Amino acid sequence: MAGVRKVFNIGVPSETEVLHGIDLTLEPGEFCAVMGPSGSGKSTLLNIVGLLDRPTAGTLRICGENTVGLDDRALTRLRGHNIGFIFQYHHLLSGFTALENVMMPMLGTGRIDEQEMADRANHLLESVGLTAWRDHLATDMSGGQQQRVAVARALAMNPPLLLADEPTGNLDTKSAEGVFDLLRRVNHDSATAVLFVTHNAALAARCDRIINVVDGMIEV
Amino acid sequence: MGWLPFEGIIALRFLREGRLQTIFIVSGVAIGVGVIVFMSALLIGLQANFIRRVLTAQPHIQLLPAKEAARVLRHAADRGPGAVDDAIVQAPLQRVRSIDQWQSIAAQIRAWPDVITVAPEATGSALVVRGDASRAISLVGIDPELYFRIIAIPDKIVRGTTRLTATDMLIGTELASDLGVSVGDKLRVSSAGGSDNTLTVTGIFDLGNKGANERTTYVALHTAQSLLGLVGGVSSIDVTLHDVYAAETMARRITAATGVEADSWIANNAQFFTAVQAQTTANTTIRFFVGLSVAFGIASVLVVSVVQKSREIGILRAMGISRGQILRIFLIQGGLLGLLGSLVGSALGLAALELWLRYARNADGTPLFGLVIDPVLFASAVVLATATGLAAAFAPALRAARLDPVVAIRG
Repeated sequence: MAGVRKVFNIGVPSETEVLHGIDLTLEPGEFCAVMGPSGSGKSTLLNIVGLLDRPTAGTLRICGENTVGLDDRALTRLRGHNIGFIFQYHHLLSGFTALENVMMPMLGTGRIDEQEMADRANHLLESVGLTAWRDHLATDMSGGQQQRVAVARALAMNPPLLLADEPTGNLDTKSAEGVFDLLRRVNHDSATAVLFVTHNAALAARCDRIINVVDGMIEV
Repeated sequence: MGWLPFEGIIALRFLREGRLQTIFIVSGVAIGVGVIVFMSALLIGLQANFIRRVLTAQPHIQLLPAKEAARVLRHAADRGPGAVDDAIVQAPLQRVRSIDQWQSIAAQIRAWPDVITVAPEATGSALVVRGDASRAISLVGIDPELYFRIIAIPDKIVRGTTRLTATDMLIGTELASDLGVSVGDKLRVSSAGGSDNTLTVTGIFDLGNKGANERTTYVALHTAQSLLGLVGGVSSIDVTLHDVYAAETMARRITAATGVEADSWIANNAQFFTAVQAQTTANTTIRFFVGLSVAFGIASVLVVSVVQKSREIGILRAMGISRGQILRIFLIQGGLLGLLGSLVGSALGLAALELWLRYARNADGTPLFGLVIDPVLFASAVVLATATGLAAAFAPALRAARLDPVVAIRG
């Protein structure tokens, strides 16, 4: 991304510029921590990279494809195939089992054979160590378990980029370690690039690179 | 869940999760649909019943001879040019007349594909005399073979047979008791023209109407023709059709083709049809407003659901689920609510109809009127309610599809 700026409430007295021209390149397979105080623009940055939000100015290329000017349908497709999200509050779909949650992104495409989806979802749950929990509802699982299901779900479409917005922020130290190790392993095994927002300096220190976002700018 | 598209799976789960809301709105829809189904079935039953009653007692179309036209009577033959002539126009007396060329007209109509039966009839007034008692009657001369196909007199015979030779007659129950006669007794029948004949009562019928049982008598066509002075002629021709509702247009066609006056049962029962029209209009109005309240109910439940599910919607969008898919998820929910509600409502309506059939009865225990439970009524209620649900879901679904995922996820 180059020169990305984000302004909220344009044309209103409360107009605020949250990102002031961010230049950032994430290499394939890179594991990158994003740190910075609350309100510095970390989440906004992640939302823009994740194509949930559009930059006010600047360019953003995902896997080589320029996203500026794409319509919602194209952005949705790009997001679905290239980006996996993990949120702070695990955000599983509450009425569904662990397995169904993992299958959801594949179901959404409507193009994948059901047996293939089930096989892949089972395999992903196995890799996050939750095979025994596959038929449990999301609400019946602990926070750490839910977050591991969320990781499995984010990997369902085998995306080259994983965006994790404080995935460990809501977990106890042991669970946080578990989730972080899992992300690291995924990064290592499938060369998935990870953008990992965290307040935890110890975890950040174990990443390939640390980006500090302060007041909407990247501090080098 | 392989047989369901993705949107259907999510829609079902969302409905199942909001269980109480779903139950309430389905009940609401069900009550509305149930009421409509029940009311419509009653109305259709009432109409069908009346029509059946009317049509077993009268032909679909009756051809009548032309009325005698009034003629102008001139005062004097010649008053010279420019003289103003006044005239006296009197309504003419209507004698019993025959339909001109009735044989060829009957043959012509009988050949039409829409026509089932064509039966000639010679009807006039007469007097029956037995001892000191006499009664004015309407003497109906018929060809039993044809006439019974139009009006099922054999079903209405309470005593005796339907035999109608030249000296037989069938009379109503009232007339029989008034004159104290029964099957096998003889009656003298004299017409206004002065001719008379002695006939044997071969059967006594009950038309289900006191006035008709008092006045109507049936004799053979030839007997009536000679009594009424209509030798070889008929006073009317009765016609039945395959499609009873086409009677009015067919009557006009007959008049156009033959020049004979033709009255349809629809024109003869205009008042009934006005009443039916009014009922139908009322029913349609009620249907419309029930449909509207069902639509608003479904829409409001879905609006709430969109708010409740906004986080889930955001997550789905982040997963790469498109706006169109979100839209369809909520449209399907609306359609499902309509479908479910109308299925339950149809069951309710059916139960109400069964109860009604069981408890709404005449004093003698027979049903008030027969109800035909028409599957088409239920099918159309289900289809309409589902379509209403889909339409009602449109605004909430659009709102869901337009949710900003960032805002939605943040909750």
